[in-house]
Amino acid sequence: MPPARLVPLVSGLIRPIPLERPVVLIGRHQECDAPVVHARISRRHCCVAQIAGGLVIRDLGSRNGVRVNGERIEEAALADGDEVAIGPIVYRLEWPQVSGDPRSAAQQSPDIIPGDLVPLDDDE
Amino acid sequence: MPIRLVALDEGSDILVDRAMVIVGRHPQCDARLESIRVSRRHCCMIQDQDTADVIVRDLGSTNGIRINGQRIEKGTLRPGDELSIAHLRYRMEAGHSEELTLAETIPAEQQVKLSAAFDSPSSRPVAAPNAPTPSEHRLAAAVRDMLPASMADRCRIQVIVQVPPDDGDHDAAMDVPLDAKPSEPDASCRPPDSSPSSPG
Repeated sequence: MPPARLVPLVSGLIRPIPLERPVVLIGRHQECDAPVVHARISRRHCCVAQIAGGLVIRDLGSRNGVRVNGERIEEAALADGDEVAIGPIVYRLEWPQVSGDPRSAAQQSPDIIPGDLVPLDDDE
Repeated sequence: MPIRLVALDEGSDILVDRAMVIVGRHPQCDARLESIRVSRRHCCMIQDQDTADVIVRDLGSTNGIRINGQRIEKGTLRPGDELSIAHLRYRMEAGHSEELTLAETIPAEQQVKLSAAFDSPSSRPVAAPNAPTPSEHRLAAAVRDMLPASMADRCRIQVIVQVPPDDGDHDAAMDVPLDAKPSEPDASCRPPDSSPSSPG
């Protein structure tokens, strides 16, 4: 599986965040796996974990929160192309999939918010 | 199958039963530890994708985490390893379901039935209508009833009633041995107490 990464929508001083480890801690503190120096990002803002072939993001009680596709979340499964806002900084998840749907794998674990998936009748 | 971290000090066990378990003192944590020495968000745990190990990551806690005594920022917890969250020690369970007590494997509605059998006024062995042995205690019969048939046929269920020492006089444990149908002599079952075998 190629490594996933969070790429900032606005390029500049903010660097992409590689998500290669099982748990990546993101925040303003030096000891985070991915330090993001910005006043509106908490010292330990959120973490992203590889779980059952999927990616799960979890807010760690940050002041300015985490949004996935515009919706503020506490914990959410991520898919390729999702827009992830960590405080004021917006990233897009780049996660080229060889095969399979990452959400379906992540959904097997309980308590993961499946996002705003609506079942559709696409039989016809 | 959730992984259990058995508490070696005070407090309850930690179950890694969801995708990501955040441990800490804050109410939003998945596993709350009430101690003042535990940070609000102390560490996070996930189950390894390939193995049954648990990956632990310190979330900038004041008092840190240790695996087998070694302070770490991130690490892998394998069965049998000891994890310290501040001063609270946990041991990662080596096995899975084999380590569960009988009570944890019994569904809630059956537990109600079990306590109903225990609360019944008759403490003498009585013949339950569907008991495999005629003189089985109702509690033992209720336990046997919820065991898998393969196990129920072969085991002997002993009911031990412990009286709490509330008025000081009697703190003895009543031991009520009951013999079940000895259909298949099994080496793993203890022999009945009525046949002591002491080679002089």
